[in-house]
Amino acid sequence: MSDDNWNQVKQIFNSVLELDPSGREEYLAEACAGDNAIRRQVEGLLESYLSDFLENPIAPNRQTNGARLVTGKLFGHYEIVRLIGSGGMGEVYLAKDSKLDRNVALKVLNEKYESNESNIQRFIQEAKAASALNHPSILTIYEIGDTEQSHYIVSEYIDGKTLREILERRKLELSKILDISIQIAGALAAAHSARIIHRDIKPENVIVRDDGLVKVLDFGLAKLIQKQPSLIGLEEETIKQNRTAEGLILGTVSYMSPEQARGEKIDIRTDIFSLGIVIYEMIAGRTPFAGGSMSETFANLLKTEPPPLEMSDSQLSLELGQVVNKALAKDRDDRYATAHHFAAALKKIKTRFVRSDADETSSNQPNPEEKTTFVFGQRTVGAAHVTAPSIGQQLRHRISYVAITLLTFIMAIWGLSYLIASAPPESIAVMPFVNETGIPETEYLSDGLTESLIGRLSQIPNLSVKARSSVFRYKGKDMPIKNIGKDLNVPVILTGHVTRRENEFVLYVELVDTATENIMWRAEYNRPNSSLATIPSEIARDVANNIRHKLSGAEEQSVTRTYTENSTAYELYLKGRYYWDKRNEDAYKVAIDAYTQAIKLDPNYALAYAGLADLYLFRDGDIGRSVAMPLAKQYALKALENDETLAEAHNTLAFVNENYDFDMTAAEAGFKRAMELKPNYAVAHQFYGGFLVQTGRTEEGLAELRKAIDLEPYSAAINWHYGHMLLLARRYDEAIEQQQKTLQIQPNYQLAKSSLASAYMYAGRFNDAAALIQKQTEQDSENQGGSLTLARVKILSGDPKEGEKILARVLQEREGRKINLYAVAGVYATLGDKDKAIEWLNRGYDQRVFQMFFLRVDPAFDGLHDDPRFQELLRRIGLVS
Amino acid sequence: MRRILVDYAKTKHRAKRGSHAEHLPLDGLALAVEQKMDIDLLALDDALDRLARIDPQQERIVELRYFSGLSIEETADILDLSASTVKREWRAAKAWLRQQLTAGNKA
Repeated sequence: MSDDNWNQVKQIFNSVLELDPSGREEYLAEACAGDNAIRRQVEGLLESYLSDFLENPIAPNRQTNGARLVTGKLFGHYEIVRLIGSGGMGEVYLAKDSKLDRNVALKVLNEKYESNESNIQRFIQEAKAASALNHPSILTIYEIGDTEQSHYIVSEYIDGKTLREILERRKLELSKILDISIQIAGALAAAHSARIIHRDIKPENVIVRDDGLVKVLDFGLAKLIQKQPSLIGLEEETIKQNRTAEGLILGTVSYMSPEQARGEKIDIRTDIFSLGIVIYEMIAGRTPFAGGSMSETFANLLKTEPPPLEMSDSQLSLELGQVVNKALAKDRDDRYATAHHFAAALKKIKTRFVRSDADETSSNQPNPEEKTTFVFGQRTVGAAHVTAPSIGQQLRHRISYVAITLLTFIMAIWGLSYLIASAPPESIAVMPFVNETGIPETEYLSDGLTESLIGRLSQIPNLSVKARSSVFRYKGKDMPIKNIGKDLNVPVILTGHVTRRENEFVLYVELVDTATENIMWRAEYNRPNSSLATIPSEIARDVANNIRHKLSGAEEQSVTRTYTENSTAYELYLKGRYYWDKRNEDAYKVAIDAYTQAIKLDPNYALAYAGLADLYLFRDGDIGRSVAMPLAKQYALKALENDETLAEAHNTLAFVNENYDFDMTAAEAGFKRAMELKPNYAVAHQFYGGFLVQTGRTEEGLAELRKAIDLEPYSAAINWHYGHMLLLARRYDEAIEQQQKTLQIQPNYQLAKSSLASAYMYAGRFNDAAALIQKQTEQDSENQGGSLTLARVKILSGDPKEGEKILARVLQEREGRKINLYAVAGVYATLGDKDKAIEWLNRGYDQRVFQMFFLRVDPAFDGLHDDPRFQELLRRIGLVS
Repeated sequence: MRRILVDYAKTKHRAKRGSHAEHLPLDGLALAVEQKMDIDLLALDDALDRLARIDPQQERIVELRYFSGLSIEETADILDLSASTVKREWRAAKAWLRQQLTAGNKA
């Protein structure tokens, strides 16, 4: 059979089968179009086709298991989403827990294990005990139950691949292999310390999430299935229960320990052996004892030493080989005594080999001493490689080899002690915590906790914490820590995961060294929901300690400060923040509701008042400024009443003082107080910078705005603000460049587009301005501001008639509706109609439109400066004294 | 599962030919294998290897349908295909395999 035409052949074959027999001959002749080779092949297939052939699966009688579950079907209160896996033990489905509205993995076992009740009880007890350890690498079980036909297990749903699936696809690199192994060993160590043996460690029972987190599944399950786990037991078992054969055998043949195979009593060291096999397989691509048949494999397992591991680095082969061989010792007394010891040995390999790899390629060494250490270490290891293994040199080779091993060992210890003594990192990035609650709506929790930690860690002197806008760009992106570290230029990254159960939540956090991707510290916070309010401060303190920043008493206070003791109120506050940040009317309503409820629970909750104040500051779209601004002020004052040290509230109040009350003295004092309380608060620098430029202190103001950008480089609002102030400062080319940068951060940011169009206009690039406005109008036909700018472009480019026409059209269109008073005034000013311009500006003043603040420095009104009415207006606004 | 069953059949095959009588611990499996004696498992295994070279997806389908006993829908689910595609591919694979097996017998 030729491969090329197979697709055509099978297509014709299938079409023929679907036809009525009478029409087949004719179709065949037509479809094969005289190609006799194809026709012969199709006919051959048709001749051989027998619908019953292979329809009776050889798989041990699975059909008797009763109806299996299909999408949409309910299993108790679990709604089946889809089948995600199938094996000898049963099927695994992704399902939705309709009670708790979260995704779960539902494993339905093939078999109702009728073995005695105590056996089942023991399994349930053990599985639950392992799950209760809450180790990050042990799958959390929610429920174990049974129906008439089968047992089922409900657990957290992990979106990842089994190690088996990964190994089928590709070979893993050393650092990954060690990372996975160390995490499995960690899970085993935790389980063993609770006297739980897994009994069935194999790649199918390990899930690796895309971000590298490993989960070990099915603790205790082997016990339920293999009552007496041995080949001897297996025989009887299989005869009795064909259905379990697959699970039994898969678990048996390749990953079983010798004592397990012999049916002897097992202890925790059986898991160490099995993990040894898994590691061996990750490195070599095959299991160490695999034979042509099961009995051969069995014989190898009991008698043969595993073939030596071969890796590109001979030193590594030797050392890692020793570790794996120790785990694979036939006599369990020769193995690692505990999974802790095993993990420690693996970590040592990782520190030695993975770390030095990274140093070789890293150009960005925080400390020259460290580099020296490892370059030295490498050179010595390298010397072992180049020593020619000629017969004459064998002996010397061995001696030098021993010396070198000793030397590298000393190096390793030196490196370690150096690490312990090294200076704290100067910067850190907190990656957006991953929401693993299975409920997308509670994203506010993971986001909010992330923000809280960023805010808290920012209080630590001499530690630069990457801004929210910088790190949230990586949200949901699967990018290696190493690359993020390089991107942000940070030596350390904090990552986290949030999961939640009925009455408690769990937070896993890890500090990762970005150069090596080594985990420096890892912790798990398992708390009742009632501790949510205090968890960020607890984590912040632990992180600070672990990156060795000694905090003074006052510093610790500001890092760990909490604003409410009420965890429900805190959660509502986080929800409010999250929806506020979405910046649309519907979300504002959700946010207002959340803040209001929070305040109900804790009437002294300053942060919730500040949240409401911020919300109204930007919500003038539908309720109007004259409603929104007084509300913003009222809530800011209420926040300060409860906590005078709240920088955010001072800043918001100052903004209202400036923009609405026209009280410049109060505004400046407020901005300054906010920056004094929280020097890293970007928005305070942003607002104060705008204030300074608009009141004529241009250079000072631009400097403040640059500071704000330094603090929050990826905030679209701050970048826009700086660009617009550059325009008011008449630095048009820089303004153009800046707004282009803003639009790279947020391509559809209308304010930035408008500002860019104006900058083009002032720079004399009329065509660019017109083209940009045209594009905006295509997206938004009601592009009022754009049309008015276009009118000015026409006037300035020598076509005042066209400009007037556009203005007239806009005035007519907006008759009786909200109109951009300031921009209309700008068109009149450009036309030279001072009276009309002043008239419209006065209307703008009465309605407190926010652009009025640009008036003194806006080039649009340059022609009005000698008019006393204009000067009077500036005075009224407080822009001149 | 395919590996296990085929391995078993191989061992059994060797034992039958009397190379040396091996202890076969898995008599339960033997039952499963021998009940289906209308199929020559080893020949099917070889033919599947050949099929994999011209149509790896069909090979997966046969493994899941025949060796693991999954339904059309389950197979479709796992391979992320539509049920109708699985049905068509499965039909073609069965015809092709049967052709291979009967041709082998004649030879």
